[in-house]
Parts: sequence; C-alpha cells; structure tokens
Amino acid sequence: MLKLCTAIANLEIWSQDKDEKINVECCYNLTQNRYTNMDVTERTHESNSLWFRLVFGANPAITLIRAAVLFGVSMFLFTVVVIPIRVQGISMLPNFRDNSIHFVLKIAYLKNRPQRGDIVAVKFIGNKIALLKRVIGLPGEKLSIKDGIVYINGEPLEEPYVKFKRARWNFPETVLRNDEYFVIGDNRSMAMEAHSFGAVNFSRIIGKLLL
Amino acid sequence: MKKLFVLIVIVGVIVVGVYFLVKRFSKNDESQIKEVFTSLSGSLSYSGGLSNFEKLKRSENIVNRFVPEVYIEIEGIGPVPISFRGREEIRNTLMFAFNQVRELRVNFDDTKVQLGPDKLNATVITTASASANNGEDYGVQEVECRLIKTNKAWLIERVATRDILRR
Repeated sequence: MLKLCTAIANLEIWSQDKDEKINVECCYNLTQNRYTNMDVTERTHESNSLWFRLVFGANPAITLIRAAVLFGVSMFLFTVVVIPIRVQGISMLPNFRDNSIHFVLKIAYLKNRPQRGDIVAVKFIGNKIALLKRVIGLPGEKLSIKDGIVYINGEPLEEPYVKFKRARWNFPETVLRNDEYFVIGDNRSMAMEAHSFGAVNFSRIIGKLLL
Repeated sequence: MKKLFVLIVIVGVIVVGVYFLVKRFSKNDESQIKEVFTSLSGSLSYSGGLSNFEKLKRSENIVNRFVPEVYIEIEGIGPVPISFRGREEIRNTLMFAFNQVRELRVNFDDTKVQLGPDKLNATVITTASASANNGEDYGVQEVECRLIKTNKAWLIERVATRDILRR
C-alpha cells in the first residue's frame, strides 16, 4: 500500500478496558495535519495492572481453564485413584511409624482381589479414618494363632515382616467366609486385647498401600 | 475482559460466602445432631490438665447431652465390653478419667445422620477416635448412637460400638 507520509511512527495503545495492547503503525500527513493510515500490526492481551496479572495471568481465559483442569484432575486423582493417609498408632511398627504419611491406591482391587501380604486400608463409616493392616487370611481359609504363630489351614505362616518379638497370642480357629479377609498389624509385641485384628468384609477394604 | 473476570470472582466469593452462612446458621435437625457431637468432642478434648471447676463444668456439659436413662456399651477396649447406665455413672467415669488422663483428644468423624420418619428420633453412625497423653494411646471405633428429640433438644439415648473386624 502506498502511504503518503511525512512521518511514520509505531505506537502502542491500550484498549478501552486496558486488557489488550495494540501496536499501531501510523502515518502523520503534514499536508492534512492529521494521522492517516493507522494499521493495526499486532494485538496482544496484556494488562497494565500488576495485581490483575499476578492473579489471572497474561491471559485470564487460559488461566481459568488451566485452573479448572488442574482442580478437576487433582480431585479425581486424590479422591478416586489415590488417597493420602497418615498412620496413627503403633500396631504396624516397625514397618510403619506413627504419624508417617503414605498413599493408598483405591483402584488396586477393581479387577484383582487382595493377596496374602498386601497392606490394605480398612474403612469405617466414612473415608476420613481407616485402619492400616496386613492381609494374612483369604476367603475360605481356616486361621488360628497359637503362642503368637499364625496357622493357615493348619500350616504355620512365615511372616518376615514381623520384626518385634511376638507376644504369646492365642486365637481360636476361625473359618473365613466368602468375601472375608483376615487382617492384622505387624506389631505382635503388644497385648492382643489392645491390637485391632480380625476378619473384614471386602466391601470395607478401601485399597492397597502404594508407598 | 478484566471487568468480566473481576465480576466472576466477586460473584463466586458471594455465592461461596452465602452457602457457608446458610450452612452455618440453618438449624435443621441434622445440623443440630451434628452439633451434639461437636460439643461432646470439645468437652472431651483438653490438654495440660483441668482445674476442679473445669472438670465439673465439662462433665455437666457432657452428661446433659444424654437422656437420664442412657445406656452405653463399648467393645474393643478390653477383653470384656464396658457399659454405663444413667447419667450418674457417666459423670463418675468422666471425673475419674479427667483425674487420670492429663491430655485427651476425642473426635467424631464422618458423622452420618439418619432421621426417623417422625423426626423425633435419629440414628447416628460415626467414627470415634481418641488419643491420650500426647498420642501415646490411640483408639478408634465405629459407633452407633440412637437419639431422641426432647423439648426441641436432641439427646443421646443409647450408644454401642460396631465391629468392623470380626473375631
């Protein structure tokens, strides 16, 4: 385009609500004594307000979408897939210390069932508090404890994760029903009455300990 | 664009604020029942020992949340279930506990309320957890409570623990 200019200037101007920076190439025509041929060369979303940019970023629409996606992904991840738990109590010592934080994989048993040796979270009425226990008995098995040694179908169970000296617990033989798993803590040095253990229905198992 | 986002934020804050205000000040039966458990938790939690006056005050606050002929049965703490009947037994047990335990923290989490059809009785299932002496002793139980509405106040009539682990 032929421009009859006596001076060319590139100017930056702001839109009316000051969220868009517009670069304009202008010609100043001395004969007409006015600006002519104002061509918009670039339009960029930019705010001149620092707090606004700090809160919403250079492009608020994109920031809002990013925040919504991040929120959605986080909610899904930390409610449906994985839940963080904090261990309280001494029943899983020395493998899991009091106040240590771990993650439970909720989707671990969507297809598979718990296996012997798995560490699982067992829920109460809600999900806020759960028991962290180890699965030692599977559905249909006969389980008993004699002098601290666990017997499954009459055979002693090898438990390398029990590191403290075992107290002499005695628990009569029980047959696990369908959908029942026998769960117990790793700390067998404490009094049996003070230790929560027993058969739990599969529906109470939230998931498997991830790390 | 900027004005639009400021507007969205302001509207969002107002909506969230109104929601919490309505939730906080609406006194329906469910919120009243949950308030009973919040109050019990507050009265049962303390640290650093209590004065005699404070012990009496707290024990009165607690027993007044129960009907006079309340029955409580707790399993899982010892080899045999522990039971209490009536406010006097609860008061004595509380005074004993306040004298023995220097620090106690009791929480009721995941409280689920099921109102009866006449809305004069309710069943509450909650997870009760207690830690004493800086977390040295820790216990958690699922508890079922039956409440009745008397003179516009919800009072606990019966408390029993629910076994989630079958022995």
